[in-house]
Amino acid sequence: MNVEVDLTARESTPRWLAYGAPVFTVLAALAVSALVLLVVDVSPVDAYSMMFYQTITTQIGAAQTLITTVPLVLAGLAVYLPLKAGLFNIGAEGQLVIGALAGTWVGLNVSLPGYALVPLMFVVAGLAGGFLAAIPAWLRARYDVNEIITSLLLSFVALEILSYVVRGPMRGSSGNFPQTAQLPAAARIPELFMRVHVGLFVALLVVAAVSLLMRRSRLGFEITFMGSNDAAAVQAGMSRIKVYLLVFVLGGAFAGMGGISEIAGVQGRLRAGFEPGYGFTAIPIALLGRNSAVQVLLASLFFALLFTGGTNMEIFLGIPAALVEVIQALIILFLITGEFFKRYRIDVSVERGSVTPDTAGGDA
Amino acid sequence: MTEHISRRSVLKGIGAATPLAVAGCSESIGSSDAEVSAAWVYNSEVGDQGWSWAHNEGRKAVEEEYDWLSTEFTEAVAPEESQQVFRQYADSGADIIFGCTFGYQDPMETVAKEYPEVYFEHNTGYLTLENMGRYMGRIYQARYLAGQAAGMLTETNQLGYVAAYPIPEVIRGINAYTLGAASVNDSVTTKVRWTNSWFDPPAESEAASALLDENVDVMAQHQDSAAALTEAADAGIWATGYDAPMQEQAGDNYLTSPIWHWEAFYGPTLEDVRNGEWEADAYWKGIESGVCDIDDWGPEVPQEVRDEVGSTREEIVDGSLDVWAGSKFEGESDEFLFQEMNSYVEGVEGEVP
Repeated sequence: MNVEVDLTARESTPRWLAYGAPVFTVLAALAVSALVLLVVDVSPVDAYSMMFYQTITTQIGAAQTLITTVPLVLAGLAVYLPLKAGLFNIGAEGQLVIGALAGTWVGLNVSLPGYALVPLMFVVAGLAGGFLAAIPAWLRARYDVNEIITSLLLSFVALEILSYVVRGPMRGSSGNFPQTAQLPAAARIPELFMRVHVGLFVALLVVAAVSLLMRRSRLGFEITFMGSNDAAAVQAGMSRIKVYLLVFVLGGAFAGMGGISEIAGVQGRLRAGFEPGYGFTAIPIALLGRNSAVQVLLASLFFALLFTGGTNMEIFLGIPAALVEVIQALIILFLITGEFFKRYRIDVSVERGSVTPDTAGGDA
Repeated sequence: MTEHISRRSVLKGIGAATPLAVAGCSESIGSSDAEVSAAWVYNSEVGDQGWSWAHNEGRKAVEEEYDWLSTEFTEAVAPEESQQVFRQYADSGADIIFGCTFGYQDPMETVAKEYPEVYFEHNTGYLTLENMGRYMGRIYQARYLAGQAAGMLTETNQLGYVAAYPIPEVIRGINAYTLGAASVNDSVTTKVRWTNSWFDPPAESEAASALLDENVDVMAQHQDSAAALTEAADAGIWATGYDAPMQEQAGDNYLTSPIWHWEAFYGPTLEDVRNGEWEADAYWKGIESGVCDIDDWGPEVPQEVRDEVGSTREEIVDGSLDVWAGSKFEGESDEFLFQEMNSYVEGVEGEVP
């Protein structure tokens, strides 16, 4: 007996699959996780009700989900834009960190009223993130150096710079601890509602702008064209350097803004290791939301809910932290797998005995 | 959107699967039959056999001792995620919340201001508010004792020290350890290797093995895992741990470890909460209070070391010996010792990074 598996790239994804795949895959992941929950004697129904329903229907949970969404969606777009041009920006983490660093420096050292200072911090954070992202883009466009490696490695450079400055030039005065002084009140991002800060509004604006750029502008068309066939795009007179730099610099700027919004909106001062890997979480977010900026936003909301709800499961149901991470990872893994099924058709054919088309059909 | 997750509704929902508080406690505080509900938040998993493990042992001890107390905890909470955890506990009726790592200081301050009726206790920090106290123990006294034992046992006069972050808490331990060793051996040198992580067993092993190459014959560590002790055991040299008894990982060459008995702080603090007498203060007591000490000796430690260190311990307990006496830190304020110490005493090789 022979089993043959054929993979065919789909020309278009059927509508039922496009909408059904994420739902089915999340359900499948939850079903698998349920087995684990049963082992530790927690009812899966209660656990999932806590993780999703009780998290979004309570004020603290809903607000926390929105707060976590801000850096996730900005970093997510930093991966999404290059992805549209056929590039992988694995360095959103570093761009986020360097943005947080530059923005915090402005917040601590420039005295302006809040309405001018906070926007300036965002601009400087964006410039810093964009600058760090420009390096891999330029190396890729000019010398064909693999941007996956350069952007990833630059992240570690950024993390080491952060670790250095909070112990050295930017260390705060109160005690010998690896952190800056607290940002003054004028440098804090004001609250929008229920502790959700204005960074959310900035993130939504950026989503709208990216959405317009990709759908309505000539540049957006060039990016998509370059992403599907760069040789043809160059033949058609488009500039690889221009497009590659544009997607990386814009993306890096978004990530940098995500970094400063986390510091000035939530944490209040820069510390070594202030970020729980938002820039790396951005990669699966962009893969899930690869079709549009709005989908990146939805994916970010979903990831933020996973994190917030996961913590709630630990707090209220006493589920061990490691197990919560397993459940989160399973959901993400299944979702990414679901993307695969959306893009490829899988035909499984089982052939029995010797009567197979190949041997029986003669010269057919 | 204004619904709150109350413990009661959760409990109803899931049956009695978890030991959550059911009493509406806050209104009965101060009366003799008051129930107290306390929550702990840890930065690492309680199975780490280190820092969080020691705090969790303290929690278990008070949970066991007081029938009016119900406790809960959440582990592996990074500082940037901790606001949510503090807020949820405060919102769902905890009377007091303990946050067990330095990085929780800002998030706890934020949440403490939102919930003025809930008490907060922050471990290892320097900030207090009306409803937020801080607590730490003078574990450097136990470091001094471990150092004294190391100073007596070393033959190469080279002591190894695997350390996490160059912050005052860790530097204090290195200095006290070195002063203890120097008190019995004037040619001893401490060599420090930094891992820049509280918990990173491979990096800890690597640092230990680099120290072994430098001819150290007693290993100490300020980490949340016992990796450096295992490395020392493989090399057949003496080793001291931290936080928790680490005899098992160090084998026969185990010396001792500076360890915590946090119940010595948690017990009286929770009784104060129950009696309505809790006040935010800065707790920093030493071996005499029982909050910290050295572990039992390893099987091979000679009697003369046990006797010598034992009598030094008595002097620390009765207050006749100040660890810093005779060093460059003699007479410094608690504030300096706690949050400003940024250089080594004589006898430690190199500079603080």
